[in-house]
Amino acid sequence: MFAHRAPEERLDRYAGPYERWVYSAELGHPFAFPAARRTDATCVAAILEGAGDPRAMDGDEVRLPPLWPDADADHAVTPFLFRNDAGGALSLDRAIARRIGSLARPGFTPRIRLNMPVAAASWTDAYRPQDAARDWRAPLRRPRAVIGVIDDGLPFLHRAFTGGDGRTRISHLWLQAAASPARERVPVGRELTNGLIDRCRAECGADERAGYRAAGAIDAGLAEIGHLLDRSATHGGHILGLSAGNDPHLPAPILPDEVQIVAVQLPNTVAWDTSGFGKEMFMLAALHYVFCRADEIARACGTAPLPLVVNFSYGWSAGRHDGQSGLELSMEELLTRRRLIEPRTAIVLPMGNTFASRMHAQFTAAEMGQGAARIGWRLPPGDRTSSYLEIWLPEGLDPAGWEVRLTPPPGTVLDAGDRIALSPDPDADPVGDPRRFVEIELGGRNVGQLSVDLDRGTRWRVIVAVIPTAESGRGRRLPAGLWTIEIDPGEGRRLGAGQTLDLWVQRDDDPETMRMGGRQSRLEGPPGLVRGFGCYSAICGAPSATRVAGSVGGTDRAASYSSAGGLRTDAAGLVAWGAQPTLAAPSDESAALPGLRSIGTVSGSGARLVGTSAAAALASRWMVANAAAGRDLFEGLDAGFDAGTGAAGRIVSDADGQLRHRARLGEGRVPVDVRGRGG
Amino acid sequence: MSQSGGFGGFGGFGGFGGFGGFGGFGGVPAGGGAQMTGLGGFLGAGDPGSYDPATTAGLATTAEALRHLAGDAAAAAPRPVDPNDPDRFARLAVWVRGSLYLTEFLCGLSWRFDTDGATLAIDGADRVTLGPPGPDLLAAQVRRVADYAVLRDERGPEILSQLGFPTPYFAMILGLTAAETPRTFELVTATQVVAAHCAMILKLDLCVRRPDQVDGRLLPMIPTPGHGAYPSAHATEAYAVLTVLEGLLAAWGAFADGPARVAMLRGLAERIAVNRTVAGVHYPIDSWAGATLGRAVGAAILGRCGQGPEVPHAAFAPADVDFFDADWRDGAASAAAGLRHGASPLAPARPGPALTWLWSKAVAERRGG
Repeated sequence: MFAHRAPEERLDRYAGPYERWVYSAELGHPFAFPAARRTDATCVAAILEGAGDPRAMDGDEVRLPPLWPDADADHAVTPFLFRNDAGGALSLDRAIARRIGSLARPGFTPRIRLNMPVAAASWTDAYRPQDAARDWRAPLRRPRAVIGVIDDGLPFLHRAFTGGDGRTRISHLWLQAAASPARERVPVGRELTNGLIDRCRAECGADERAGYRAAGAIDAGLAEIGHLLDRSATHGGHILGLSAGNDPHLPAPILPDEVQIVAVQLPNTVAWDTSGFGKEMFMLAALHYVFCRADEIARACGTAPLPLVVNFSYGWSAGRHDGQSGLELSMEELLTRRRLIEPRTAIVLPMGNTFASRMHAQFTAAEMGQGAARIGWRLPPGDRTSSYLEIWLPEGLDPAGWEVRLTPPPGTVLDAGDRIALSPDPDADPVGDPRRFVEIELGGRNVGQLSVDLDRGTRWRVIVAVIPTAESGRGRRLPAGLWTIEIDPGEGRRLGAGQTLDLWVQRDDDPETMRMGGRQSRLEGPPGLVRGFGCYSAICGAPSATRVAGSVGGTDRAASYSSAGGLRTDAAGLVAWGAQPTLAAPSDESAALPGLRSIGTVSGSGARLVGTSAAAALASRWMVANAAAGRDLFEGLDAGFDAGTGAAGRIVSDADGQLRHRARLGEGRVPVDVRGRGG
Repeated sequence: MSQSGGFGGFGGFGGFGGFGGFGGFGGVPAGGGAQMTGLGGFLGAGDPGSYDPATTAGLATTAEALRHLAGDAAAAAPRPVDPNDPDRFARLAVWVRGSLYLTEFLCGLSWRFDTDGATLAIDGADRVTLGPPGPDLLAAQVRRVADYAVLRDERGPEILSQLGFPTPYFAMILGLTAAETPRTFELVTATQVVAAHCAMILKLDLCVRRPDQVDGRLLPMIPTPGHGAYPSAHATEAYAVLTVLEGLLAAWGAFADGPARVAMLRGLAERIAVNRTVAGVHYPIDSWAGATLGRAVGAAILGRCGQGPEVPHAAFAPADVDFFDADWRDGAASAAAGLRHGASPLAPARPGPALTWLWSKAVAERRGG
């Protein structure tokens, strides 16, 4: 049962449904990722959406990470960090609620999204963002472009990143979760510069892992760094290699010394937990950092602002999918602002790998008919993590009278919480967006949460959050099987023409490195309802972002898993909706060789990765090489897909065929041949 | 091991399901190469067999050459062997002891089938009664079996390596080694063999169709065994071994992290049972019945070892539930599943000399840290 809390200690008045679920002991907290389960967290990350200044919050120090163009520019979303100074006297959710609450003023209701806690050892004692970069030295050749890479486990000592002069091309690197030195230019973790990296390489010689230990990039005492770089390969190593390295394992074009690298290594949990909760601060701060350091390089080298391509091979599946999430608004703002200064600025994101994963469903007015929309949600047995389903109503639709109902598999009867009304709860007393919460109870114990909120004040959303189906020894367990979701407009307004009701299941697979035991749940419904088209990453939808689909090398076919833009059939025929891929790059070497080859963790080793992450990195590589050669980012894109004849001569002449083609593969293909580059 | 290696061809006795091909005999838990049936892992263990032809011929020639050197006096009368020598079992080949363990356990066994279901009695006392599942219950349970099929991709290696007795999985948790704990392995094997026999006896009377005979869409990933589904022999064996090992751990009293290891052993017993549902050959209720039977068999083994825990009669009348170890131990959840325990504990099973000897040797192999 959900315990009563004093109004000023109710996190759900300020924060969203995910935070309430993850930070409440009687709800999802016992099943959250280890980083979120820490109850002794002293440093917490968060974002503020919209107006306001987090530094106005009461209590101990509040920090803004380096922001571009500066801290005082109006930001769509402001990432920040603060100390939880309650000293353990209050549970984390209550302590944080008090802090956030202090930001509210008459006439100002802050919209806060709470992120994961930060280890105390990563908190910089003396945060000095204005300090000069330690041991940074200007590159011998004047830079012509910057490639930014944001990922996990970055093998920055690998020979793939040394230039022709023997010096590293990695100009700046921010290890967000490393132990922090006493004084640092970043609020948490540490910054390594090219001078520090070269010295580390010189000192460690061939034993690169000794270098990582010395630099704090392997640190057994900090779970968010840990032993990741002791592995033979990492996602981040693969992506950093493919987007910015030169190595026998890597394809052409060779990147010249004039391409400088700025990289950010995310905390492990941010990189691996794909539940969509608690990462925006780290992601957004990473983007701002890359933009800031790109400027710094140009200034120090006496050049005009440099072309900048940022590869961010990351995503999750549930969200608005209309480009209006906080993260997408921030990306759009960064891109729009910087393109005024240097048009060749891009943030490159993968479309996702969920085309065939049955994680999206869409109801049009016709499909809903006169009754309730009904769909199955299959929760697999043996899932040791929470599962989430998001239901999104169209913008502008007032759902007064609507209700969402939940029916468990046969043999299970819920005590309470099997339905929620789509209306504000007057007793919730929210600071910010209207919301309502219902706890799902079985056998007198909580097994889930139904929530309704008006996300960012514009779109109504229902989230069903449920606990694991596996036994965890905590006395609570969700019955596995087919749950049924009913979305009933009742006597309320029904969907209008062109309006849809959209469902996305949150990604819940099991990154091997986390060993969390997640199992992916899926939607089940009549043919046509559960769709691959529109089942794409929820963070790639900023209009100016570069979205990359994956294709099979040597063919004009999309990879089977490569997520696709939205398509639906209405009265006028087939129409596209939502984000569409900008372009495609190979993500499989060939039909027989899945994935792309790139570097492993230590010099000389290789690794293979399957997925659109690699396609995005390949596209980033090609784009930044274009920029360094003085060309436009997309110059030379193979438009064969779209010109009527595919690369293999396939005719795509009818309008519907072209829409489908664009939804899978975008406007053209990156002309990089990845075939025959080893097995 | 090398002597019995020739028996490896028996490994394909897959039709025996839980009996088929298990490696953990003679104290060698894995990779032994010999896959035995019938007497379980004991068959052939320590049996010298015959020499190869060249050695046989060589020995005969040498015998001819040497015999005259011993003279032609009459043979002396031998010293008698002490039949009460406490260590007489140590002189036996493992397979001979295996035969004795099995006989010792089975001599007290009886069973019957009546309106309550199938009842197993040991030393004259009813220990377990398993009620038969009705057709509607089986139809409801196949839905759960279908749900579990999604785990086949990740559980495949476990399922395939647990077709026989999953001894290496228990050994992993307790740090058992062939060099240091051979009698502990022998105790585990003895428990598995008798548990499998008990399960087969009750399966025959209960006559429950396998899930794939109820719903063709289940398409099991391993051959469907040639015997009934209920109770699960894998669950019976796993929970019998769990019961015996919990007793042994208590007798060792040596692990600083004993409770944590017991928690993992329980998790393992559950997982071995559930893996058979994932594979598509068992309903969750088979695991409930098997766990219940296994605990009774394990307690009876402890009785034969002279340890004698007093446990009540257990009766299971299955309801449509999923199987979890935590539920099986929980009073309310197990009652809802149809599990009832008698009010008073039963007298323990009688001690037997062979198993009592084995127990003393296994206890002496005390592991700890």
